[in-house]
Amino acid sequence: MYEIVMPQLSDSMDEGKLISWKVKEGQKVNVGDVIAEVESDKAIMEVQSFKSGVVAEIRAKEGDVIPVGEVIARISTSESKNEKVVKTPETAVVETPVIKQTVSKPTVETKQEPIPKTPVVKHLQKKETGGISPKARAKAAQYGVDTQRVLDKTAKDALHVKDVEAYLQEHYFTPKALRLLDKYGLDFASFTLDHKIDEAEVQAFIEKNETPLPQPLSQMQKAIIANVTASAQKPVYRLYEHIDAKLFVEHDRYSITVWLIKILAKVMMRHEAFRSRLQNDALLVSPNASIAVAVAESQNLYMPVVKDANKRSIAEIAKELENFKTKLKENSFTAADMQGSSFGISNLGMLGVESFDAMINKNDSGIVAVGSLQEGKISLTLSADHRLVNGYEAALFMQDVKKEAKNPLQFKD
Amino acid sequence: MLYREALNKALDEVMSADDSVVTLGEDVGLYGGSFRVTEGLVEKYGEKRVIDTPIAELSIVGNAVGMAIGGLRPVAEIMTGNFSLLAFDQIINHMAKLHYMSNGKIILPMVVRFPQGVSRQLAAQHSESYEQMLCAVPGLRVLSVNDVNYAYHALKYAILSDDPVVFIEHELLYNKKGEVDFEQKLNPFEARIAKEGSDITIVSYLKMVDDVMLAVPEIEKALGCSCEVIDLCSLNPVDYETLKKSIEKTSRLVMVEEDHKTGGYGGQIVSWAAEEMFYALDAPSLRLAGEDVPIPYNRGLELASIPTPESITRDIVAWGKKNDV
Repeated sequence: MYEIVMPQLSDSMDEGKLISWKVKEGQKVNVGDVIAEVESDKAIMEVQSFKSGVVAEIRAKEGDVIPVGEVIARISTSESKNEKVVKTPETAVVETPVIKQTVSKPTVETKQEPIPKTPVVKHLQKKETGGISPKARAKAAQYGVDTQRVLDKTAKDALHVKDVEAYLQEHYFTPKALRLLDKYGLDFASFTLDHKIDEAEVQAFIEKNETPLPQPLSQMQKAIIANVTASAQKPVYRLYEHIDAKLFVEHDRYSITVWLIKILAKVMMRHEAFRSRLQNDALLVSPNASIAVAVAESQNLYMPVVKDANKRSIAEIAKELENFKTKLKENSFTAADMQGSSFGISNLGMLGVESFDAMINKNDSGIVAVGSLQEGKISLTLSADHRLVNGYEAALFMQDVKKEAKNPLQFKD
Repeated sequence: MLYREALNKALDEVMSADDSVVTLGEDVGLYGGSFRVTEGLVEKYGEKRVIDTPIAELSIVGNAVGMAIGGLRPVAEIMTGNFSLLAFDQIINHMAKLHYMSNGKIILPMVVRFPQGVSRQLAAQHSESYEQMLCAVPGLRVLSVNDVNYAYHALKYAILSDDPVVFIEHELLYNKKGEVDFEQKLNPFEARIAKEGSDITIVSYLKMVDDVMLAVPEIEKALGCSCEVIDLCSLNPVDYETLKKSIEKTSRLVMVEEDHKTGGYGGQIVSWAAEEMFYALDAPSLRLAGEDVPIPYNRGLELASIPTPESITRDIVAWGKKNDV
């Protein structure tokens, strides 16, 4: 049932006078038919019907004054299929019929065609979810990728470059080939993408182009790089000396390194600068001589510290070095093993290196590099941090080391 | 060195080197400038070259235009950008156009400098930004100063240049500390890469550059990406070359500015990217700007009306997540 109400024809209109009815009860009406004339406070206007049907009831008499919004007639639309079309709720306010000036013919088409909602909306929604960034679109075009396929596959709101790249990789590479690409950090764009590429083809590419295999750095390697880089930034200078090797050769029950640690520790006790190190803008001077020793096996190099070497006997020092070698093999050094030094020693002499210079360990004052035995002499290269030791002190230190190397008392147990 | 000290040093050096350089404005002389930029200059160069003017901005710039026509190199200080509106007729109709309209016979080697922007609770009439209006006037060079080193070099350049320059400072930057490299050959029209990065290009200028820099670590953490931050330095002309290189690398653009969003300056940068960089973009560009409201007096509302490190972080992270950064 469709209700016709007294229309509001102007802002100031509260009620209207029904001038005349153009239809009778039981009469058929079509959409747009004029059914009545009403008078507002300003003019006489026609009232049209929005719907087709049969006039079921006429509620007002001609001449009646009726409040705006009140029902003046009811039209039965049950026989009309159009009832289903307009889904708007059947409230009096919404159903206000279209009004026409009596003079003019209806100019506005009031017929409401059924809106083909579903298909249009679906189509729009599909377009909305099919967003593709300009760069992704350009990339897709470059490789002839059907973006709709990628969209359907990823079920994403919008495609970005990485989606297109992921699609390309998956589409043109076997999983094993992809793993190989990843391992060598290769860009898939290096390949012609017109067929499925397998592991063998990637491997062939790697060999043809001699692609290096990137290896991640171990924590150890990172620590060494950091130490060595810091060391290279220090103001380092070097002193080159030779010491007499006669006593070392005579007392070969201990290695040259062991004897030298003992001698260095003794001399360090006379030269405070070599027992000092820089830490957090402070100069720390140790009461004892602790010496870092370079020990290496295969690829690993460590600088464990012989602590308080000045207080140790030669046997104890030798035992400590053996201990270090065991730990190196077992890979069981602890952080505590590497701390507390203020000076270092590195011996490549046993490998036949005649002379070299070494990098200063961490915050140490210096390091001595020991070369091989040549014509009764051993080369010593002292690298010193100029912030801690000046050249004069370094020269005095080396003088003492040379003297002790020739002191037979030094080589007693 | 402080931002204001860098400006002072630039002025001082140019004034000592070139007798034709004069500075004029309200309180620039005996008082040393409202933000102490002209401190100590009147003692050195006298009242003929460091001129205290009445509170009449139109006449400050009008006189500067006359001085420039007459062969001087005037540096006009407007106490704050808010008052520059009163001088806009001189700035737009005379300073910007006389060179063109005289067929190049008149040159205007002059600078109008002022601070602008949202300071602390100065309310609606004292928190304005006018770069969008000034950049829309052909004939003006518009420089915006975030960096202390840039302040020194760019002001010297502006004074010695034969073109009319509007030199924009920011009220909250005068006490910013920074290093000045006096030996540097700085091109004032080159944008400054405040931080290099590979995934998002964040473009900004004036004080917002610092707020962006505060936001960046959080953004990078939340999105797992790296941001490139560009300080435009020169707003007109714009160093599109630097922007282009950056966007080609990152394929994403974020514009951050303090001024109101509608009609704001950043629209120029984003629309340029839409015109010239379309196929390089992998996400819709994002514009972060002030709200379209007069700047409120209340501190909480004031901060809510402009981008802050917190809101910059929040908005860029949300945009990044939405756009698969």
